[in-house]
Amino acid sequence: MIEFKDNILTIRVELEPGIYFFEPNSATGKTRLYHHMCDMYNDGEPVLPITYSQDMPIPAHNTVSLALFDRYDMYSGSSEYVTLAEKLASEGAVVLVDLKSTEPVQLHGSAEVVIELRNGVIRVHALIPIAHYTA
Amino acid sequence: MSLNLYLYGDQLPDLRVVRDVESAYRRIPSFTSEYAVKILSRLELARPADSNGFIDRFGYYLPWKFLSTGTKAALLLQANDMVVDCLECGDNAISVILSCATTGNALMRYTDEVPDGDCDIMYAGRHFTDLSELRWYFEEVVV
Repeated sequence: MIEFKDNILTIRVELEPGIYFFEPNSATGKTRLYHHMCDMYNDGEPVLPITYSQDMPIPAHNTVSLALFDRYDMYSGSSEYVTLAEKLASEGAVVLVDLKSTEPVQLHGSAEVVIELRNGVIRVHALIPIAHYTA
Repeated sequence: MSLNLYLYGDQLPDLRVVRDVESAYRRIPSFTSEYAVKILSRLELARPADSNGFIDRFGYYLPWKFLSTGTKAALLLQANDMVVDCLECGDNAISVILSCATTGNALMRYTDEVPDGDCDIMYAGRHFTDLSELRWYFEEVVV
């Protein structure tokens, strides 16, 4: 489990390293998570927030523990992001991907995850226990 | 007026197609119309505060920029001079758009999760007022 806590928000990610896709719903807290991770990134935390129409960010930390690929529908055809996501996951990061489309993409995830936005807490966890997924 | 609906692959009208909803959100005609209030309530559990922002589900004030991408797409449908690509709308946002939008031009993926209820949608030259009819049409004719 990964937890980041500051005076604004607690981010609790109850997942092992790997690539995960959010449930394809809107207004669940992903944008809030992205903006908060941007602040954390600028503050030197081991996170990597990525979104559409930005240059590929450079990790601000040697080890990234949490990465977010926000708005992945908009750049899902770009193989460099697939390479980056796989590299981050192999190095021990939890990589969260926001994808709404039902069309197949190059990037493969381990499981579908849920984001819960509560007052002061963002919690990300598996929709069903990870052990129930088969490779 | 009706919501003009297009699925990927359909012939589109000769209008600007807005693919990057986050960039286009500043073109949203109104954040306080009856439709906007309904969208904010149903998708964000939020309400307009003033011309600059909204009160979120926890009672905090946030600028409009912080609305979700799906909500911004739904609100952009108030503008009739563009086709809004709903690529980034989640299943819940698609359902709310089909139920609530009565203007604009929406481009979206085929969905088999059309909710029940009334609607005001033009698709393939047909006017649909009941979402069960649209669902039937999608299942029997489009697929």
